[in-house]
Amino acid sequence: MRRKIAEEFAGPMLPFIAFCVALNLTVGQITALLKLPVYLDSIGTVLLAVLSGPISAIVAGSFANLIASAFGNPPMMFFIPVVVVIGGVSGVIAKLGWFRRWYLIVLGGILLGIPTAALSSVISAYVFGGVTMGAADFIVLFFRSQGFTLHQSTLFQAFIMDPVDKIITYLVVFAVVRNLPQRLLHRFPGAGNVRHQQPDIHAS
Amino acid sequence: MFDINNPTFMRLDIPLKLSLVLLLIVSAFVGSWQTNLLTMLALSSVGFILLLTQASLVQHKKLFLRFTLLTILFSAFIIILNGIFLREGDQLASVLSVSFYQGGLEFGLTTAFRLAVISTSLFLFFTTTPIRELIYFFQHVGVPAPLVVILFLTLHFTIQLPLRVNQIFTAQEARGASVRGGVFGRAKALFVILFPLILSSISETLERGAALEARGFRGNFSSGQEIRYPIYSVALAWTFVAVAFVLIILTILR
Amino acid sequence: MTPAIALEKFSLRYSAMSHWALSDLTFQIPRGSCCAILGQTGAGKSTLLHTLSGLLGKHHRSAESSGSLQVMDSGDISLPRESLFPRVGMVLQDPYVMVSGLYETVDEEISFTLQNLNYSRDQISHRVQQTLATLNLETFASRHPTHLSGGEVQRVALACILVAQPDILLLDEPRNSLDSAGQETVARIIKDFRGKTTVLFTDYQIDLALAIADHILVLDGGRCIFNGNKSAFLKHNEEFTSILIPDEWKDVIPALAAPTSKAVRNSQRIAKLFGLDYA
Repeated sequence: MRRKIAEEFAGPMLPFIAFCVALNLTVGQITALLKLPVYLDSIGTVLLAVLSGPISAIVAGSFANLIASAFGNPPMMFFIPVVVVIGGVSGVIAKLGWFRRWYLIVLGGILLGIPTAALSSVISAYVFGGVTMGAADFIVLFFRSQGFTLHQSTLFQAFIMDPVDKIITYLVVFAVVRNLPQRLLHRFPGAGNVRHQQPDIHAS
Repeated sequence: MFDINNPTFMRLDIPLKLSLVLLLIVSAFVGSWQTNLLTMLALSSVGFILLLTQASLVQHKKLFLRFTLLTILFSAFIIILNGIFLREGDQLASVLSVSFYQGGLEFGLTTAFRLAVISTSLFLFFTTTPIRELIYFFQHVGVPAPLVVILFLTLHFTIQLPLRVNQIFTAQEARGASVRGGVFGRAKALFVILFPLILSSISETLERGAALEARGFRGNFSSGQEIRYPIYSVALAWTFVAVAFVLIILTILR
Repeated sequence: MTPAIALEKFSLRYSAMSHWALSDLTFQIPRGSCCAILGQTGAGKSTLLHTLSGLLGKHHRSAESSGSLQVMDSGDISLPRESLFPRVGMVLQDPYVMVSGLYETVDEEISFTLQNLNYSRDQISHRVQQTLATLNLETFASRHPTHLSGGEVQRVALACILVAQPDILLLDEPRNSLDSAGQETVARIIKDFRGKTTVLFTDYQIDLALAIADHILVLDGGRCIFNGNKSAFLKHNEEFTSILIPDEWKDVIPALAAPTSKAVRNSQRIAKLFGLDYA
């Protein structure tokens, strides 16, 4: 176990981990540029969970949430427990080989969406009263106006948005890792999560 | 601890500022909306005084003004919407046939000012603390070297990635990708931007990792910075942390 | 004295099922000499350098080798599975990735290498100053490493490795994306360091090789098709220049079909620039 963690944080992997942190922060810029109604702010976390392992994924996701808090989105740091779930579950799903089949990762996205929705709704309700400075606040407010309790409202909002967001995230990561050239994939500790290790036929 | 040439908040050492931020965040959760409003007004005043009196913070003036305006607008938004849609408690007023309820308004006030205190304290902290110094502090308190290295490298990528995104976006637009069409076209464009961004970046990060190895990097890192904090600064910082914990415990027991 | 590098029928492939990326390489590089490794893209030049540095064996665990490989007095080490730094220092093709991004000034960036090797603060300070002076980087010492031009970053990248005073210096296409002034600077640095350090550099053009290299290797499809000095190379120049220049270029630019005299003239110009005897 210690060796696996050491492998995830080996010197050559550190730039990739840093990139995944920055990716979580930057992808929001892309979805805003394209005016798409999704977050996808855990793409870096999932990518790291698949290609490296769950511990580095959790660390990267936590760093991204802390940095996001520092620069304009304060509630994000309180959602670090959700990052732990995303990194952990994605690591397990990757280890099971689900990232080799697209239909399995759609199922994986749904399975991930359920605990993240449950956890994020609790945090949103009891820490922020359902207000997290995002578009989701309107949905929560709508449910509250219909007479549902605070927690019920945040739960319904989370169950609407989280599984969809996680399925799309998983599909994007699936497409990326499946298209990674073998000579690059080889360099990652989690290469076996993506493909059965094939001969490296590309000389560099 | 005190340097006559530096503004007050900047004179404070990082541990002291961090502990103050922690105390403010905790008080934002345990205090009433009235105490949070007073805290926010006090923090905003500190911010304005710093900006008006310190030349080194002039670059942040526009940002702080924009931040303050957004905070006010956002707080008003939360208060009004909750006052209208949370029909709890007595009806306080009716404006243009829109009713405001006491329970909803109180909830809105509590949430809005809590978020405002947290946002303002974080904003002031990061405006007056260079990121690199903060990372050196983390190393000083024992954060493992690999994590410190990740933080430094993240600084590099958070500057580079948005530039690359813009380059790819422009290039894709130039070749006719429907980046401004309907939602499905834009969703397709998302993949068209993400793929080259991630694939080229993965290649670069692996090269950077190899370059670190080529220079003998084995996971140890030293910034070369000698950091010393005065004993009273550290004592005061721990006092703030202790007060924060006491507040948490009292709130739980209550 | 044992050669700096000695390969005897050395072959390498990335895995048991793949083709041989390097085949039957046999050559020796004397200590203190300068060797140019020439060949088209995909000839195996970078693969060879990465193998000699130990990085390839480390990153490709499934890689296999046959034959023998010796570096300095190591004896037969087959395929090195760990970086051989600081004995063997390698500057990668892209100088920008050699800059770690962890520091804000050039001198701190260079000192990072010696910190990794557990040098004392005084030793680091002395060596860094020495290296800055040797590579004419003193005026850039307090500049941010990423705020430099391509040629300046290349020099910083070289400094990051040379500060450790490796016995063998490997340069992967050191003239890549440099203007002529930058290329001449790199050539000058190689010329200054050969003799003290064994230098191997890869290139796809022959002018620099002819100007400053003592030894030339030409690779084609992972095989060594020429191993010798300048004079021997020029005797076979037509054969090798046809390999170094892709066929499609010769069709487009007929003058390339017989570039030798031009290459020789260019080499003479470079050699004269550095006060070298062009034999």
